[in-house]
Amino acid sequence: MSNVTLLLLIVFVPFAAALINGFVLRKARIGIVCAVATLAVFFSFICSVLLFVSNSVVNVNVFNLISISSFNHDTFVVPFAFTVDRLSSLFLLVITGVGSLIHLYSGEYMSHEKRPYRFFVYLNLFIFSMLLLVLGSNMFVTFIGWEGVGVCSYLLIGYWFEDVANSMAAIKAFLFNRIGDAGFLIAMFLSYSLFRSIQYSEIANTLGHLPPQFFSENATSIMLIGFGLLLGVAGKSAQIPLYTWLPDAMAGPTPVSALIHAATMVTAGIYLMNRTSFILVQSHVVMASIAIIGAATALLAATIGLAQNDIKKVLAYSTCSQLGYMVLACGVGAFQYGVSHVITHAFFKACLFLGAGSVIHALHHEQDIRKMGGLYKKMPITTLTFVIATLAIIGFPGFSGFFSKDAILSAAWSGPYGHPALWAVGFVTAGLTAFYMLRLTWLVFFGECRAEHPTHIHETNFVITLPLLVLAILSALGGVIVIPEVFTGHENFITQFLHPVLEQAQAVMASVPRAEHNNAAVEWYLMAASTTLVIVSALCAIFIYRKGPEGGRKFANAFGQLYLLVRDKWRVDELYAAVIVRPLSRIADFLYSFVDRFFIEGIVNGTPGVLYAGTGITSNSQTGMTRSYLKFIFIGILLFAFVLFI
Amino acid sequence: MSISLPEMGIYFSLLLFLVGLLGIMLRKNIIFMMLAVEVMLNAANLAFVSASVLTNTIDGQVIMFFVMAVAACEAGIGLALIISLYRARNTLEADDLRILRG
Repeated sequence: MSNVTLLLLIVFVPFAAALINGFVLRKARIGIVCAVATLAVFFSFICSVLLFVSNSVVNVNVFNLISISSFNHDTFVVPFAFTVDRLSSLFLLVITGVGSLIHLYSGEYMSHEKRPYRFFVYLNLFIFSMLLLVLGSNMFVTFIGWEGVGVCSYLLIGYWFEDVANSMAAIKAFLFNRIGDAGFLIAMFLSYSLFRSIQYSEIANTLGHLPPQFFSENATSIMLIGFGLLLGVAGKSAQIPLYTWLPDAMAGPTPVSALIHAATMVTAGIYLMNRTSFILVQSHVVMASIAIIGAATALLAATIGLAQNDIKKVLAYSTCSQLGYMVLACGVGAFQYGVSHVITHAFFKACLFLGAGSVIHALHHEQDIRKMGGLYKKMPITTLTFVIATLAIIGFPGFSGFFSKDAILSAAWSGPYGHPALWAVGFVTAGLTAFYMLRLTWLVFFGECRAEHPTHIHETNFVITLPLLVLAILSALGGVIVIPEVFTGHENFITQFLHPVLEQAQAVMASVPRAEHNNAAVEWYLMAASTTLVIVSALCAIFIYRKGPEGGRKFANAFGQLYLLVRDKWRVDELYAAVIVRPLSRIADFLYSFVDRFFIEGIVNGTPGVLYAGTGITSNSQTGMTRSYLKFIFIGILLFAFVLFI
Repeated sequence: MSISLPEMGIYFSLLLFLVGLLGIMLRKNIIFMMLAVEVMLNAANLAFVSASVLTNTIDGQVIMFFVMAVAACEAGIGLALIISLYRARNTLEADDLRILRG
């Protein structure tokens, strides 16, 4: 098969599966629906592997979405075109690989649903949109995918829409994403007005051949493009100030949290920053903002994660925090480490979420970690995989997270735009991560069992455990893509692999003078420091919570008000409600009660009112009585005769 | 001066027509209104026949037969309509059937 066929199959097979499930298999049993959905995504995965192995750049132009021959003395054509390069093919592997495991897992997790086809249709549509996002060769196709994943995320968060809270969470996620989308749109318009193109390769080409004074003249526009993209990234990848939708998105079914809100969709922002790296690096302000926002989100979300009691909420804040790491990596100029952390994070966070799902499934939808504990005797496979994934996320030496997080931390110290302060934030976050993850793992799986019906708890079948095991192995070994130079003596895989994609951005960054070059000694020190911190805070967490959740109370009391503030998520939602939501709803109330009720409805309801009143006068003559009509007819004939004959 | 028979027929038909007209305007029951219409038709027939004799032509008498045939059909359809109207609305009072009121 040619690469073009492979590429089209990758994209359209999940779409076809969604159509089949949605229109043909509406009444089928979950086994059949799940098999169709899973096999479609798995087929895409195999095609992605073939495409990855062939390691070539493929361009396909399916058809022209927009084609205007004379637009401001110019032809304006937006093709529905796909491009696979090394960056896209890495994302393809993650999306379809992790995606097919989670599709399989959903077959058991959603087995109690009455009409499961809806869930799998949405999941397949999500995969389709996500593939459009990472394969689009211009901003518009990416934007279609960007919107598509937003819609699917909305539909899946609100999957159990009978509960109002779930619907509200879905609407919140959608609205926050819309704010980000507006930023992306602005960036798209600006880059068309500046570079006369929205195709990535053309923009890169144009940027490479522009004279230096162009950049000084259009510095503001380029910066605005960067900030527009950053707003889009903040919306989709849950960064400050738009991160609050992600924890609420945990209202959806757990496989959705694993697939969309941990492994794939939220990493779309990292993809976009890599894809547009050549624009972002043109502005120092933008790069610094990205790095600061990433670092701040990592720290803020990690602190909130310390005090949550819902197993999925802890993981959600941890996702936010890890996304902060990835954004930080991009902001300091180490775009490739953002991607490597996306990949390892997809493995261990999907594993953690699926493990949490396994626990929630076994405990009949109990999510409070204070009512768990001691599950390692009853659910050994889940415990094993969860522990491996935890070790990976906290960066325990040897596990995947260690390598990918360490690469980010060392880049934050000495990357092109790095600064020791950014490293310090990342370093503290690593300690906090270790603390809350060990608190979670210990309270859920170890200590005494505090569940309400401990005898009923048991491991579910292999449909649940197989994806867990695969993901656990991957999260243990996934770090091979980013083993640092100091260990092996040559440049790590991800930097080499993504070099063609990031070449232009790296050339720009290399021309910027920077203070110090990374040397091996510094890297060893940084690694030792973060490893020590991680192990110490992990042990602290185990020590504090060794006797169950009560152990944390004394610890919490020591912080007093600060603890309450952290437990209430720094009251950011309340702040947004007070600053944005309530004034807006007050304006809306005014508009409704005065403008709408008085003016608009006055005009709309007044027009027929006047007409009724006017026509009422004449309509009274229509009595409906036959004899009165006859009377008129008779009078009419008499008048007629009178005129005619006299 | 004596009035010939055809002339008397003309005057009588005028009288008969007025009776029918008043009947249709004053009666409330639909059956009687229909009877009044029949009376008016027959007044017209009488006028036709009388005119035919007066003018010594046969046209008026031919038209009378047509009118009688049409009147028979009209009576049949009209009665059928009245019956189904009674079944539907349970009344034959013309004043109660006012759904066309504006």
